[in-house]
Amino acid sequence: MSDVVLEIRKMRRLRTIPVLVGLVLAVAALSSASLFSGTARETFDDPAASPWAALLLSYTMMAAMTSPLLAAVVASRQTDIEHSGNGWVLAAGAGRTPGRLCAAKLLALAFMLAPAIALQTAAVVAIGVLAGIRVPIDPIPWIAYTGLLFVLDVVFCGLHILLAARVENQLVSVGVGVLGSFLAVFSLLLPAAVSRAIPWGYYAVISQAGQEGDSVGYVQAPYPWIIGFVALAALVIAVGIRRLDPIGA
Amino acid sequence: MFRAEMRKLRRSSTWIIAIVLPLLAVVTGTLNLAANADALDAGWASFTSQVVLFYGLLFFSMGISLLAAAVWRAEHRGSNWNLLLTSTVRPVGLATAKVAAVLVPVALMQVVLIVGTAAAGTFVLGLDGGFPWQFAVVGVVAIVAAIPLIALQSLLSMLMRSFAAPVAICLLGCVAGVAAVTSPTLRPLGHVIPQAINTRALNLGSTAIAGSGGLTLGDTLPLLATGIGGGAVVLLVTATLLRTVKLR
Repeated sequence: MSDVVLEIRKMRRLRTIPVLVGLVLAVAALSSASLFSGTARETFDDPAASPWAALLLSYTMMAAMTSPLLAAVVASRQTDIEHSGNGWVLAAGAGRTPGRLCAAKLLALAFMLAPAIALQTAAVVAIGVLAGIRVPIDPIPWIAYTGLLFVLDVVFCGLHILLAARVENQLVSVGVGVLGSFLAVFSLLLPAAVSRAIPWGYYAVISQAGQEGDSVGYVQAPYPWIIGFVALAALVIAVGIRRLDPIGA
Repeated sequence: MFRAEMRKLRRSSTWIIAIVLPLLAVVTGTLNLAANADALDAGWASFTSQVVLFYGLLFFSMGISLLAAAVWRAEHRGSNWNLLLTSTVRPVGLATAKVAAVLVPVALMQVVLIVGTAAAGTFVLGLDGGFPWQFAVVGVVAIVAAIPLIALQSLLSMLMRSFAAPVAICLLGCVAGVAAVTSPTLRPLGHVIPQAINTRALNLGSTAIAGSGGLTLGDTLPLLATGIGGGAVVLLVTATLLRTVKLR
């Protein structure tokens, strides 16, 4: 546990919390921007037009566009300091192997991401209410999406920590995050079978809202696929962390 | 100085970003057009608009932030910063060389985008009519319009040792830029936020974003002027900071 507390202390100088808060609020604002158009306002009192599902879809798109990048940036910052400050050797001298250090980084980031993503969803819903949506909200798809988004962000943070630890040039880790963001947002437009084959495509696969013809409605996400992907990624992260230990240990 | 910068760039992996990012834009644009051929039926106009949609909103600017951070990364390693300060080159010369070094892969990105779009439209989608030359002009205008962002990201990457911090700031700028371009009330900000200037330049003549302007002198000249003028201002700020502030 003290490893995790140490990582959280490192975040203070890295300004991880202001970066996270700034970004999640910006994403929330952008997700709700469509609410202020004239055509959207006409749907606020009409349950058949499902204004909340439309807002969730808009949120899903913005989150897909920014989350892979956010995960790459916070993971790279948290890991890069060990390269530049020679922290790998210093921590190994104190009995903390690189693998243990990376596991602590992942836990600490997960600890920060949970309230950040909850805040993001709460802000989107709050803006929806303030904008004047009168139709009652169905909370289940929103809670499910927020939970799944958190799980995916943690998974990608783990993968990016491994990449940032292995490859000192952070261009690779953050660059992969940028390319991942591109694939994530585009996966929303791709057939489901293709999205499931792309790791970042899962930002689209977890969507709880979708377009059906001309209307938008809530949809059921393919949970077996999501569980399979998360399990596979967890295995990769676990093996990756174990294999980090020989370097510098 | 410029040649030294290019040598440093050649040894980093920046070329991967410069080639893969625009290629992704072309591939995704092609897939989207092929899948939605009924809705997007305006031929080349629909295709080029789809190619630059996400690329113009976010990924062109993010690519620039990565390239700028990569160009400055070497100076933050070991004692390179002290070595840099002892250089006989004037601060303006150094700041300009860094911006010019980023401009080369940015220009390459645009070449890949234009050639890729022409090839995909002609050979994969088999679109009617020839490749619109206007799209190539928009690609070149976007390089000039990107100078303020290149200079700003170069400044941020000079000030910050962390590779990812300036990239995160650029992402925030992109989010503000998207808001400025899509919301009528915030539109004036689109002339100031460098990321929004990029989006506007790449979307000249686009059918995907409402009110994005056309490839006319009235819409293009202000963008070019902002590109050169804004870039020069940020370059001067960079040179002044290099000379006056103790950064380490």
